[in-house]
Amino acid sequence: MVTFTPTHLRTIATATLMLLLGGCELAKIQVASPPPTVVVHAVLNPDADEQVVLVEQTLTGRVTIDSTLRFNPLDPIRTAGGSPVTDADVRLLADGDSVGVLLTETRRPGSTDAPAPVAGTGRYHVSRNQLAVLPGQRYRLRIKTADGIQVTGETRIPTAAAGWTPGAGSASVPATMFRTTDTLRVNWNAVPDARKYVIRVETPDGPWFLFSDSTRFNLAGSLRNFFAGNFPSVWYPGFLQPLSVVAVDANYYDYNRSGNDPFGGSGLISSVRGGIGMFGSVLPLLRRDVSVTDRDVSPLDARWVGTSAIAEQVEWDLWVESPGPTISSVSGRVRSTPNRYIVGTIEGDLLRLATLDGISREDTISAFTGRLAGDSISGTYNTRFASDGPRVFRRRPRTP
Amino acid sequence: MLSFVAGLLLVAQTGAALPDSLGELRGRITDRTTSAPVVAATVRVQGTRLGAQADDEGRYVIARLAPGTITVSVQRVGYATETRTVVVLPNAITTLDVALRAAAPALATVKVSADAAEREQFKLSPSPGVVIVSREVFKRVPVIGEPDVLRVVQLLPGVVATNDFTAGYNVRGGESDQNLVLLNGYPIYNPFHLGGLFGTFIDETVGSFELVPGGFPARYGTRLSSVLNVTPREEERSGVHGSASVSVLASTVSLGGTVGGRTSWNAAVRRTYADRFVALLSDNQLPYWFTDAQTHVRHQFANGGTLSLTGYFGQDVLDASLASFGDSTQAGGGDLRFDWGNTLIGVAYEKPLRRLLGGDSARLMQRVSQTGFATTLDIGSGSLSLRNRLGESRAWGELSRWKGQHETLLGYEWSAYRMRYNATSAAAGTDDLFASSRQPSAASLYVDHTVRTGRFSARAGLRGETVTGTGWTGLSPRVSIKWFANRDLAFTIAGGATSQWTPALRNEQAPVRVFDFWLTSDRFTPVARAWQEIAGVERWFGVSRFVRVEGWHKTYSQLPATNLRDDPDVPGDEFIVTTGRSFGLDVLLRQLESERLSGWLAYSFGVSRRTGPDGDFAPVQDRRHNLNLVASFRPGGKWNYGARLGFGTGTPFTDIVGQIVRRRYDPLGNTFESGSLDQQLEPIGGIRNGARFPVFQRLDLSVTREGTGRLHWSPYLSLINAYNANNVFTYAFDYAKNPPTRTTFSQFPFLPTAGVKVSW
Repeated sequence: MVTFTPTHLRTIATATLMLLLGGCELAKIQVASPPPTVVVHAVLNPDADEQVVLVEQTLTGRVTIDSTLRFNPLDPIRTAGGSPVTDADVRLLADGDSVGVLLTETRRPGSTDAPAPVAGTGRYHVSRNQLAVLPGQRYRLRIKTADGIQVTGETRIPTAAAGWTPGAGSASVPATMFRTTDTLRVNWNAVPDARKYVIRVETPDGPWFLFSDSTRFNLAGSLRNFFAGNFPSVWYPGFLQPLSVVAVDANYYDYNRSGNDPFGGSGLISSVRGGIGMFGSVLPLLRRDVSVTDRDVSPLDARWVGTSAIAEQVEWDLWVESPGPTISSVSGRVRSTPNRYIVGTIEGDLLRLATLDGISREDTISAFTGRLAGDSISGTYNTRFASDGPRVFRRRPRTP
Repeated sequence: MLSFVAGLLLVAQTGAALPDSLGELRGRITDRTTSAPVVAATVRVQGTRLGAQADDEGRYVIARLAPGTITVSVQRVGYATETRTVVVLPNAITTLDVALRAAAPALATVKVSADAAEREQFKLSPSPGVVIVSREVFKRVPVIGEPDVLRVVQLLPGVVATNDFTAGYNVRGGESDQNLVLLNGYPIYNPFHLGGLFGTFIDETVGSFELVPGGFPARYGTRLSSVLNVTPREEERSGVHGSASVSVLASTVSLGGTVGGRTSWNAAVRRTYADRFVALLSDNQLPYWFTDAQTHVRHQFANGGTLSLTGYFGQDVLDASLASFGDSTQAGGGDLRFDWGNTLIGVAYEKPLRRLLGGDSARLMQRVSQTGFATTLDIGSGSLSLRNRLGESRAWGELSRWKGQHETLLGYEWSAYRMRYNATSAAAGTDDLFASSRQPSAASLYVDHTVRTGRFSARAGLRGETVTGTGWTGLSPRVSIKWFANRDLAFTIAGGATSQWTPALRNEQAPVRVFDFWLTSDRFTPVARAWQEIAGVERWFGVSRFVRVEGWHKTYSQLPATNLRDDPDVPGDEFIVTTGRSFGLDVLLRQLESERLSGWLAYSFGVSRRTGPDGDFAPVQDRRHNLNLVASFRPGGKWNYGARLGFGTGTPFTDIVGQIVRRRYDPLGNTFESGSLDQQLEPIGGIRNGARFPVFQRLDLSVTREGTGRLHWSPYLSLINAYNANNVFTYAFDYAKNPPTRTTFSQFPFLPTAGVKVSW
């Protein structure tokens, strides 16, 4: 089963109407800042090299959130709109343990992207060497903030099959998917005490995921990401997209399947006492990279060879990802550099491309604007520092 | 219950047999100029206490007449009284049709059928609080787009509309799903278009409507709070007549007429046109439209029986291909299809009977209908599809018997429900991500006995109900007593129990009501119950003006409320059970439409509380003071001026006291991200409904020119919120800023709308 109850349809219906109505904005006034509440996000993962607990507080207007910061996984609270709680005593306790293992707060000097005196505040971690969390075991979380607030939680990691080791389930060879014709079929071994399984695909527009009771799942190439704003494709030709399956406990499931109603501010299922948030656990079962490709249909669907912004030879594989009546979306990869992908649009012969250093659109490192004319594309790069060009790309036969 | 009803039947059968020598008089009262039926005309046999009131078709029946020559008078406000002499034959039906002549030119253009119906309601019915509004009345109320029955219902006493953006309503403290909406006696579940902004009823097809806000007779069940019965308009003119209208909202075509003098018919079709208009003028899309069609056909048999067919079809469609928007940010976007709508088809047979079970006259009614509501949301061409289907097959029958001062009504109601909700993802290869299905049946038997004497009009009823799959069987007693201090002053007390087994999944916190997701009670979701007590007084000043004051009190038990934390793996946890209490006072001062200035002033005071697992709170409909002044002024000639002034104290809402960043765990990177490119902030609610919006106020004005002649044009102009009052719709909080801010979003601003109708 996947969690789509009538509540979801009702919420979507209401949200759609609110968008349509739009409402006239009358006035904006300042309001008082209510007292904050401690918020915890913690997921134990036996596969991970370290366990991480995020401790922050609800946004109550006491601090200004800098929404321009680029996300940094080692500074995940500040760089994703949160207000960290620093100097807390955060401990993980195994069953029967009353002292627990103290987690260390990640404190790093500020970077260009996160120019704060200290980055990584509110992120507490413990390495596998200090605490190797195990499948099937129960753990408690105990947090005491500097203000004396105590937050606790408890989780039991889903049990692994005999012989399980960290990293089990990862496939080293990517699966290839022809998007127009293929359906990806995945299956995994059942975990008896798992509350649900999460099937997840990383996409440029954020992850697509579903909860399921089944140990088998099919993913068609036509699948759309209904979590993203304009329902883009899940699979992008040219991309190497990670697919994962994890077993999760009830805390993880309840927190992620619920949410606060946008008008009344209630509905979220929290699994910690003394605060808001989740202390859950997952057991990774499967990981596979999917190399997405497609048939060549449009004049743009080809390999293109030219020079990069720094004048190095570069090869693009491009596809019209989703054709539109006036503007079509484009995707592809930079063959000459691993983990570098391309998204963009083509309108007539006008091509606008962004090069990503990773899968997410947030990882844009350069932009290219050019025109498609026969077997060539000519245009200019725009990096964050300067414009460069012109550059000319020539069509080449697509070879493996 | 069955034995009780059988006992009543036995008692009825022991009445004395009628002498066979009596005769019966029947006929039809019409307008001499238009040939339209004159509703509620009073037909009296002079020198006796015998008489009758003409029904919606202008027909009347007077039974148990002694053979011989009698003089009959026919009266109606706005018409000259007519008298006729007729010979009544023994054991025979004598027919007397009378065409009334308008009394005076000044009043000739004023149609007063609903007004007289109010007076007749006062005189004959012990039901408290009933308001009858004819088409002539509601079409003169300033409109949002075009005349809308539900928008007029919102202006009646005891009724609360939580904001401008919903045509839904709450009656006397009840929730919005507790209102039974009937089209010619057939239920419609979601009578809304455009996300609740407009009602489904096409005004050209509506003859009148009646709102029963409490103190129901036993014939009404299945809802806790109110009954809205919309009566279709019946064309009585020969030939084919019709109208075509264009408003800022939609264009409508309606046709109607009679065939062979015994069959009347009408049909109307409406569709919004903004999508076509936008497509015509630009490359942009407006991917929304709605349409509906409504028909009513009625045939009268030679034996006096009538067979009628009522049909309704409505659909709202939001059908967008985001990639076609021509916007580079939407390139690669998927398709979205979101549609919902009602379907209804119902057949009714009614027949007057003679001397049934010792009575003076009787009437048989049988209705069968199929009602459905369906919605589909499809995202990404099958990537995620959510569907909800609700169907009700219903049979409803009644036998009415009149004998002297007594009226007895026996009836049954049987409904088979089919509800299904499912979520699928074809692209993910799953047939049912979630599925829920219920198919209960509900059966009801009821009896009502009404006694009318010179001073009293009293009714006692009992309704027995059972619902399969719930293990529930209940009895709902109903009592209503009206005492006349004099012919213009009456005091009423009423009380009784009501039950409801079709709760709707609704988020009461959401300020808009797109539509409801109806479920049915089962072994997990209890049948809701309410008890209500009403006491009131009604005073008439002449035949066209009255004031009514009613106090009411309701207690709710087993009231389902949506469980926001329901688990799809747990059957039956969609609802949590609450209890509640509401009480208040309604005042209605009404000037009927026989004068140049007509309208009403409705004031309601109400207090509602609910108690659930989260404690005690005021529901969103808890508007303490609500005032609506509705006026129509006809200075003479073709012009009609309408106004509506509304004032209401603030309704409750939940203050937002902070926001939380929802973080999604990435098992591959062992990190948390915000879940998508857009940061997800979720509000944190404070005390449930612990705050209140500011007072609401709005003045609407309208002017209509009513054309005359065979082909006449009737343009209208409405000014909604004429002085642009800033009424709060909702608040948006931003706690990511220091200091935090609250942005106010308004309800309707000043909104002029216009339209024109051509009739022939």
